[in-house]
Amino acid sequence: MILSLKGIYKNYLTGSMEVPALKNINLDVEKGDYLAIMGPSGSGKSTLMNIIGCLDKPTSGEYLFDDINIETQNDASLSEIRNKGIGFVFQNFNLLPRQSALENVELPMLYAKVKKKERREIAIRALERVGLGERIDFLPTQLSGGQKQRVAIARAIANNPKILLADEPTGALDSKSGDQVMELFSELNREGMTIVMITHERAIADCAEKIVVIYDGELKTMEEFEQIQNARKHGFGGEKNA
Amino acid sequence: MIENIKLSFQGIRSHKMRSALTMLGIIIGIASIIIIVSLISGTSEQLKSAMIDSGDSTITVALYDKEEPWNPLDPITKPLPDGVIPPDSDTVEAVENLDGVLGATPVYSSEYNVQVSYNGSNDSSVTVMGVEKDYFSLKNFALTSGRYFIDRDYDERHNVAVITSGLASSMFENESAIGKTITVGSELFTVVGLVKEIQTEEEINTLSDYYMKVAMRAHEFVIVPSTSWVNFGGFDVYSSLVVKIKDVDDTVNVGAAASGVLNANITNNGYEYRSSSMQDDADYLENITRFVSILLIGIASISLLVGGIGVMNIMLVSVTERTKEIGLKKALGAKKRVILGQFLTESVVLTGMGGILGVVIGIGISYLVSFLLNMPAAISVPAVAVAVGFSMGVGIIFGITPSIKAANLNPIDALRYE
Repeated sequence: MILSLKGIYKNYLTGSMEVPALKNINLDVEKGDYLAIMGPSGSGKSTLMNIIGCLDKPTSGEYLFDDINIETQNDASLSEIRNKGIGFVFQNFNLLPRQSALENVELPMLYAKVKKKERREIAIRALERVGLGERIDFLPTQLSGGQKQRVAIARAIANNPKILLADEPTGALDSKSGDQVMELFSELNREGMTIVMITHERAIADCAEKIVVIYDGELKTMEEFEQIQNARKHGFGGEKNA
Repeated sequence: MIENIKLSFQGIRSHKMRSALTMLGIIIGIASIIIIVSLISGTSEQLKSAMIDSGDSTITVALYDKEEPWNPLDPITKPLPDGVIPPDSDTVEAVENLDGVLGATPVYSSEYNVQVSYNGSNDSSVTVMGVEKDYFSLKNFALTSGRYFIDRDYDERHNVAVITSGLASSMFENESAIGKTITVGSELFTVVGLVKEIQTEEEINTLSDYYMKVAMRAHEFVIVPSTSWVNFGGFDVYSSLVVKIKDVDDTVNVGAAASGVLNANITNNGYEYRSSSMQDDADYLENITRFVSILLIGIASISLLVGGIGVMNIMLVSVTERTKEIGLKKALGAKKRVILGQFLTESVVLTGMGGILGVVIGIGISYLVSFLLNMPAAISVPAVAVAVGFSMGVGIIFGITPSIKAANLNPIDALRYE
């Protein structure tokens, strides 16, 4: 088991009121899984992503990342877990604008204290893997959106993480580039990479092997979610008729 | 570390104008410090080396009023106070027997208070001395023309004088001094010898020449035999003791010991014998220049402080601008101290560069001023090192707050920052 979330709650303080963002989340991800977490905006999917990504700690509940209890880790060891265990892919790429593609990919390995020569070799291999072997010295401004996202994916896989955590990876891309990115994810998953992807698009979520939906801070299966949607549609319809 | 420095240069290069303006405060501060230090130390080095080069290894022990400790008591204007025993043959012998002393001779001496004139033109800034026969063997004078005193001058109380060459050139200009008759007090004296104490620059065309001249002026002497002194001196007690010492570095200790011998006989608490030497004069001069440079450096430091505040301001802006970058780096696993190190390095690189540029500009201006005003400039390596180190210190002090702010950013908020 790579990820294990048991009874996770997350509350936010808004003024003097505690607003629950996540309610009793239970989720397991095994090695090699390809999971999509869907949900409308405001459903709590960013909060869940932050907790899975060890950027935030839950208010209560137990989160084991690769059998490490996140609750007990300090800031420095959380940094290390993020560095070596998680490969982040963001919606808007988040590349350093003044650094070349190669330097961007080297960044997490710099924090992992990988030696310069080795760092370079791994980064070149990662860029070749995402099909950008020809553009290692390009600056982000010289690359298209799809290419930028592929650099970001190369950066995410460079440190050979336990999971690839993607937050709306196609959100800022045209459909063609988006398809290429999804194809790349599928390939990486076939090669054994565990992927957790957060999206609001059904078509993108369908690329994953398994889909869960987060709705009002609670985790639902796809079937449960569809039932709720249908019930609401009828509800609205009923009101209209009346 | 190397990565951090590389990143810093990238950051500085991407905001050339802003970085240059930020550095300007540091550059101006450091450059002014370098200019002040090199010009002042250049002048005082030159003065000091001129003094040390003169090979003066004598000290003068004279009587001072404790309430007016600047100039020795002058018996011409003030009679010897009660309870003070002037140097006599016993005390002279006791001083000669001290460790580190080669010889001692008592003198009658009056600074500025005996009128010396030639053809009606006065020169009042002269020390007139009545000396014993062994005086010239103790004092490091070089006879440039004429002769010293002979026994007959003493025995027959001849009104003869040996004068210093600086005085001779101001009194007689291009004429030969030997054989000229000058008025000392109320008496006429014939100049028989010319001595040179220090190689003075004859022409005044630069500030440093003038500085030099003023410093040397106090050391223009009219020297007469002790037996002739009483003809105009009006007092016949020795006013001070000239002591020749073995080692120039020993002046303070030997001076204190010799003063102690003379002070042992004093019952009047208002007065004391104290030593002075060229070394003391040089030290005094150095103290003045040190004081002036501390003052000026203090002023320059304020500009450095203002520069530092500018650095802090720009670093805070830089942290805010790069919030997203910081969030990303933290998400990718950069620990707090990595972020702290990155921003602190940037701040230190910024101020360090400013410091180095300031040193270069400061040295340039020092040499320019030195060339234009003909003042000596001495670039002191420690001062340069301290200046660069200090500017980097400014980078640390004023960079630490913005860097801590950056390190403590919450990655979630930072990533979401637009």
